[in-house]
Amino acid sequence: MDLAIELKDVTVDYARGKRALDGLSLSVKKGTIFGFLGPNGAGKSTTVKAILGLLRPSSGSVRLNGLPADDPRSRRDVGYLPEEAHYYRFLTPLELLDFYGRVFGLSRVERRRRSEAVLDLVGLAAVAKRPIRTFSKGMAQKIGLAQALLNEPRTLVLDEPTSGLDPLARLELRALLLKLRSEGRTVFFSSHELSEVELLCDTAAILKDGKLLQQGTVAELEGGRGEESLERHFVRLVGGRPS
Amino acid sequence: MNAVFAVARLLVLEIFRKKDAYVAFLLMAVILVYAAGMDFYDERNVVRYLLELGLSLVFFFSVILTAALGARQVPAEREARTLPVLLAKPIRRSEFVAGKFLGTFLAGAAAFTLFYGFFLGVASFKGGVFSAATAGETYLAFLLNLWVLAAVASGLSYFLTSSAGLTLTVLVYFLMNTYGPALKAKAGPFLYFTLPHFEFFDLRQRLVHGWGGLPGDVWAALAAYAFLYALVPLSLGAWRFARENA
Repeated sequence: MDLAIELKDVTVDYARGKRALDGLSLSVKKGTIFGFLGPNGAGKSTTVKAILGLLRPSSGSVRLNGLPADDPRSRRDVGYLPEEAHYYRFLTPLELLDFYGRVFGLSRVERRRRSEAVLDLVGLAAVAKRPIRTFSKGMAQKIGLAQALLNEPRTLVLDEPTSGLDPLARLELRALLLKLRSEGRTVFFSSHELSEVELLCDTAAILKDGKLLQQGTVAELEGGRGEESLERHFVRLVGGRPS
Repeated sequence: MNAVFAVARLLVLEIFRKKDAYVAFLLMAVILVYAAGMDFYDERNVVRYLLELGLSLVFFFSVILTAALGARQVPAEREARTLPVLLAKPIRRSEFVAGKFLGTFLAGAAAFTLFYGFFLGVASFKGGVFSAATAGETYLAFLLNLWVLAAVASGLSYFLTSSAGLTLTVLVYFLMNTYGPALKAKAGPFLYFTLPHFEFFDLRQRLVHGWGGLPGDVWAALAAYAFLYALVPLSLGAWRFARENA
């Protein structure tokens, strides 16, 4: 099986004995959209960080695009959008993208071409030369999306990508993700938004207290125990009370 | 290497975008011009004293600027939460450490070049007579000084807050400049061989009093010392950073 992301028995212990992930195993097939669900504090962001090599698991292994996650080459074909947008505020979007383009080793011409293309794609071309410190939260989130797409990645890792976006921007993002899948790219995104997962994802997983509760196609998750919606199934699985 | 230069370039851009260097330059320029305006009836020794004072000022501002810049880099990245996105790119942590150091050095060197050029201009106007070769050697020796200083400040930034890193770096700098040669006798060989000998690179008096330059073998030893010593704090910083969760 051709996997973009693979976690095997990953455990992450933080200081003071807090266990963030507990023997988590996941696999994401190439060319699919994978939804990663869980309540607050379930360990979704920790999983994303482990996938990107931003933290070292206490045990287990993580592979990204066939390489160990701590190997920088595994991130050459990856785009990452964090939950909260934090970028160098003294730069303009064009300068920021130029900086990241340099880190990717792109030529000057290629950096310019791709920066303009992604800024146009996310609707920030008109403010490309304005300092980021003057941007609203939604605009900063769009810069995040632009930098995640800069290297034309085969795999996108998105942490709560719709947070901070208005309804129109959400629709645009949804269309973009479907377009990326049609181009054969892989999208892994963590979310609270069950409707997004239902609409977009081929497969999904539900996490609680650092443990995987269930993984399968969205249809399997919805129909696994009778004909209930993903929302009801999720609420029942993580121990909440359905409305 | 692309990533190293990208990180270094960002840091140089930051110092000029945030205008720290301009503030330091203006402050230094005001003091220098004020001192140059004093009339001592062409008393040569007083003019020399003033020149040494002016050069000390140039060194002081360059040291403070470089130390502040190096010490704040990593704490500022942590505080602004800009690290995860950068480290999610194909960059090694060691490249990040090297880039931060190189950027600190280049920004400090650029500011020093500006300050030093201004000083030489003011000093010439005031009647100071320098050997061009010694002026060049003083410049190069101080660049080596900034190389070590940038490494110390940058290395400490992986362990300390920016204010603690700045304080410790500046403290060690002035301690070694003042007591460095006597440290072995006063504090024992451990501190003498562990702390960076910034005083090795201080050629102020040679320039002001016209004592001439350094022989080639001393230059080779100085350069070797600077390059090897810089590896110590940088290696420690890289070791610490490699174990840190972003």
